[in-house]
Amino acid sequence: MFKLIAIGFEGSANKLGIGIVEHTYEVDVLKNSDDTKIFEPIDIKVLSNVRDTYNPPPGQGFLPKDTAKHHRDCVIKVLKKAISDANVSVTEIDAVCYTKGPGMGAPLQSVAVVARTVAQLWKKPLIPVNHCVAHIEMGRAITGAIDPVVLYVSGGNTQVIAYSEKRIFGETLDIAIGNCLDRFARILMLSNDPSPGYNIEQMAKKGRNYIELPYSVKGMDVSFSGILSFIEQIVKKSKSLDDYSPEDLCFSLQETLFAMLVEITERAMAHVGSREVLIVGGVGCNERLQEMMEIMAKERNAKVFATDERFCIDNGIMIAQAGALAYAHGYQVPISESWVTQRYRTDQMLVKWRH
Amino acid sequence: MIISQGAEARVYKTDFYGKPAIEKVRFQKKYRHPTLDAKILSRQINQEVRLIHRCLLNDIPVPCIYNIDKHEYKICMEYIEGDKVKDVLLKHNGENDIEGLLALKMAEVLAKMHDNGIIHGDLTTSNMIMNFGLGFVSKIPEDKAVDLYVFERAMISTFPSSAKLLSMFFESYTKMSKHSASVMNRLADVRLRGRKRDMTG
Repeated sequence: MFKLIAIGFEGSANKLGIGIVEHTYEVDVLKNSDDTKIFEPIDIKVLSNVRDTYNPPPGQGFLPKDTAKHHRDCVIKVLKKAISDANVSVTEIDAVCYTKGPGMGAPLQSVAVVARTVAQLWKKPLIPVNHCVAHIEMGRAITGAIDPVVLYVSGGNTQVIAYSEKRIFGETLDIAIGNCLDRFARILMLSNDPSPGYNIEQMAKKGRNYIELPYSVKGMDVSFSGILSFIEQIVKKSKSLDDYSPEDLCFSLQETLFAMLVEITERAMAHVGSREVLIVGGVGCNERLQEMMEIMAKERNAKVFATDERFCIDNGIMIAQAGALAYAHGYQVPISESWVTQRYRTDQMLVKWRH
Repeated sequence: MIISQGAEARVYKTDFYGKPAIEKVRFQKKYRHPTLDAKILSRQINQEVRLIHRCLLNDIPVPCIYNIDKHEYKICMEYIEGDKVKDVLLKHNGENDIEGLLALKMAEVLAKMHDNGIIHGDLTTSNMIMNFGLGFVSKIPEDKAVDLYVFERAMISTFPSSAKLLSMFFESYTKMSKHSASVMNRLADVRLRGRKRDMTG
């Protein structure tokens, strides 16, 4: 038995997350590693998963500068808690993983600085991680999905990915779904606590009347910006709340956006012949989206895998998870090459642990 | 008798007042709100019929439409005897003359469609003419190039040895389409970028 402990630092958007994961392998992966071998951990244990979210006041989004400041202010507190929750000493940690991108520049940098510092202090290898790949790997680890079509939906990303082919099937042509929901929450002046999407979901549960909105699926891709402009105009033009209730608007927006997502996911499943669908990313904890996906999957004799907010919403543990896999397969970078980038496609990261 | 079932429709063989016909039935999606579902189904059926009609007007070989039922989302059309391109290729894998003829035929039809502004939207060897549900009308080289790119990707993933067929296909397409210069240039760009955008956040 070989144990590998990794710590992950995530701060690509408004959540600062630090988590520690422990992998158990049958062999010493570091000594046996070469370019062809693939190691699957026989056991994955989440030792700690701590998160602190920056919430701007209602009607505002999170700006890079303020978000970075939030991360800098609370990173030491979060780090200490992650280590004490995990009940490990820093000497036991084998690898320090951090988000390389994609994400907002300033928050990414502020967290990478901390990861670099502790890696040097503790004399540990440093592993940069693609945020999107981390989401998928965490979803896979928690749910046990084997070869799923992945719907990755968050504030910054909307993609349908065929995991077996490491290929992006469909994606948004403009803004991400979470961004669309967040901005609509701002228009309605909903609270950003715990998250704008959660508050929209609660409002939508009380909505009854479906208001027709544009529906925009282009082949395998989707587009949201026109829908947002359209619904924004409805809100601005209506004289009183009697015209349209905010509950109905939230309901209609969710119904329209999620139907688009389910449609392209189904098409991808039909194309690759997959019977599994895995939903990851912050919007993935929306219960209505999960329910619609369930109905689609049931008709196709397929199975839906979804996780709850601990693993769906950005967190440190997923960075540790993907980083540990990369490290087990011989990947690390020197400090001089440990940069971050705002643009980093899911299909750009070398995924050595898959054929 | 059901002959095929896709993600969006079932196709039955039937007859229409004595003529052999097929019936394509789009089914409702229970995950969608009923109002939205009706809107989408109705839009897809309109689109499909319009594009088939446009093909007919421009001498592009497509099945004749016999009847449309917008309440049940059914299109009844002419039954055409023959095999799918995919099946022909599977059966005659490696036979140069048959592949060459097929490449020429496909290029001819597609060039004609594109010159008349008809974009297929989902070109694979299993639904060459049958499925226009994702099609649209456009004169922009970008849209035609993406159409070709999708076709190329589908061919390569189903028939790994299709390089020769594809080169014959593109050669004929270039010769036959009036706007092929701009489309082929655009195709080079589309291939390079692979997919549309670099991800930001």
